[in-house]
Amino acid sequence: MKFTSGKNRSEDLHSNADIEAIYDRYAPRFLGLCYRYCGNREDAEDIMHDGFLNIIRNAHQFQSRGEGSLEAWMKRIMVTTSLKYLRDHVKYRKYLVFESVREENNFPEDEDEPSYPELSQPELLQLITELPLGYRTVFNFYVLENYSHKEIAGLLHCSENTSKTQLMKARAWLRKRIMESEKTEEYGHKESSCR
Amino acid sequence: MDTKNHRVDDLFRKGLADLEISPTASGRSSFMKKARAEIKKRSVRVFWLPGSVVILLIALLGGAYLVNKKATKNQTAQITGRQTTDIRPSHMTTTAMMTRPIRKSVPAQNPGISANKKTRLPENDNNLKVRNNRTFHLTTSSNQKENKDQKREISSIKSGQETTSISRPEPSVVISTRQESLPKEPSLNHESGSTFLPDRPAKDSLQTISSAALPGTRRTVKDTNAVAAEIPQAKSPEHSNERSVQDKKWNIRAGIYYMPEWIFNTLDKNKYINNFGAEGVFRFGRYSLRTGIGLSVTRGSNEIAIDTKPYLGSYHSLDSITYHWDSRHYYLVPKVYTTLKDVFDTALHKNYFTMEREYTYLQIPLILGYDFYDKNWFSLGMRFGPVLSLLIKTRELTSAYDAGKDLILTVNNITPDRIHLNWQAMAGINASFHLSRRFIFELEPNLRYYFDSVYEKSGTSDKPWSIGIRASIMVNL
Repeated sequence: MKFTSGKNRSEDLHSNADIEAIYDRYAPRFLGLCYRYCGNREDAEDIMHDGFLNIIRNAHQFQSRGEGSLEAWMKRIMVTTSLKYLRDHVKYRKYLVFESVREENNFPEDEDEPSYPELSQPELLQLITELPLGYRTVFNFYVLENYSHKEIAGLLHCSENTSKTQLMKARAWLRKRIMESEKTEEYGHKESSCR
Repeated sequence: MDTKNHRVDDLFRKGLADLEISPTASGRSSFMKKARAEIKKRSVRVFWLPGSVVILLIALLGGAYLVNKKATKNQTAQITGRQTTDIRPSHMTTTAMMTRPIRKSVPAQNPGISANKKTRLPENDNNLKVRNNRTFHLTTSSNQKENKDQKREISSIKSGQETTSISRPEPSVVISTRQESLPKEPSLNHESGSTFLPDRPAKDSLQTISSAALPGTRRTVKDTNAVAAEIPQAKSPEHSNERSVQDKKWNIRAGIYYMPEWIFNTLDKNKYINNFGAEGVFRFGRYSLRTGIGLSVTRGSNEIAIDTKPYLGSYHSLDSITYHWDSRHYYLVPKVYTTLKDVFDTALHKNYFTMEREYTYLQIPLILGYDFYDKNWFSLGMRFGPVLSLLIKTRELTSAYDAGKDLILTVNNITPDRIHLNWQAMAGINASFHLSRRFIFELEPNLRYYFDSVYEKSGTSDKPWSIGIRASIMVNL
């Protein structure tokens, strides 16, 4: 790909062929990423397109730091674009209300965390998209993008404790949903075996 | 809490590590369309930024060159090109004299007169008399025998109380000019009836007199070193008017302008904007304040996405059946009530439609200016200030979307609406050409930066900028 071409400093994306190549290679991965944040496919595709446009605009700023740095750089742009989208979105303002850290005690840490059944990718994705927006954003940042609470707090303009609380609530919510689905499955299985 | 390895986290990390969702083909094509536009926009930006700077520089250098050329021409014409007697007020500056000479034109005998050449006066030209019948006396030194043929050279010129010395070949006739009524008098340079013109106009005395133009002038040659000349303070009414205009420290101008403008960083392909209006300028010395009212007319395209369900056909839907007896009350006669219903495809069809629109903005500028180069016929300066744009009218140029019999479900604006209020910062170089005392023609290449996007969604595009060239005709009030 012409984008890095073995130099420290990248070249600009000049031609349509370059852009097509980048799009075809990375679009599926980034669409999955954007989907995790916004929770629906149409918005995810819009976000991804905006992210790719940002990549084209800022291609001259990219400096290669070895293998994988390009993808990491592009991923960061996609995450930032997703976050910007969420910020501009009306729903974000409506639902992403961070609870106070004082509520932390309402969600005690589950010491004996059970082992979970194997869930398929669509099921996991479904669970993520069903998370409330605030929980989902923090969970995505922390668990799937490996951001620290400090970084998340900076990005979301909230305190670190708020980020921790949101993450804890997200985990509790997911645990609950997974257990519920497990029980439903077991019940269905028992019923069918009785018949 | 952070350090603990949660199983739920691991579950999602492992499960979603290689999450990939294939984008749709339509999404890919629409992205490629946007990407192409972005590349084009970037290439235009790369060209226009240095391009506009180069254009401004060329305009600046061109203006300076023209001004210098004109000034040199005037100077040359004054010194060498004409054989005239210039009578100027001593307090006029060199520049003013160069550009607005007040001459007592006198035909000369020797056309080749120059600063280093001598023009011979007629032998019998003893009395020099200027047009307004004032006389001055030429005093010639008599101790030079070889100069008895009346070769004279002015060695010094008395101007009121002061004497100006001009280098001359030895020995020469000295003409002493005595002033009778003027506080200051111009210089005079003679040698035996010749007129010496200084290399450049002296600030306090620039006056050449050709003897041929002074018939009947009484000239007395004396053995003195000075020539006293009595030169009138020649001021024509026209000159007085010009002076008064020039000396006026402030004035007001009004006029009309037209400015083609090319805007960048917008979603529209059409970059061209027409601006026109009326303006007033308050000038104070080299400073100016310009304001006015104008209209800015531009065209743009508005793309909409329409979700439709295609029309398949129609049928008579049964609403109800009623029965009633016939006239003999023997049969039940049914009466069927139906409604004509359309049938649409269940699949959604997305259609894109582009409408052309004309946007009219009201513009109110407040432009400050400073002229760093100011001559009588030309001035060059910089202009900068804010411009307020208000969207006052939007006109559809194309007809509305016709879906036929298809069922329209949703209509979404792909191109966002235009913003109603916009502030711009303008900076430019102004070149003013004074066509006459009253009329001024101005050319002003300028650059504008829009503080907000012209669209309502700020994230849709970068902040626009534009280049334009304003042409205006102004009248001195």
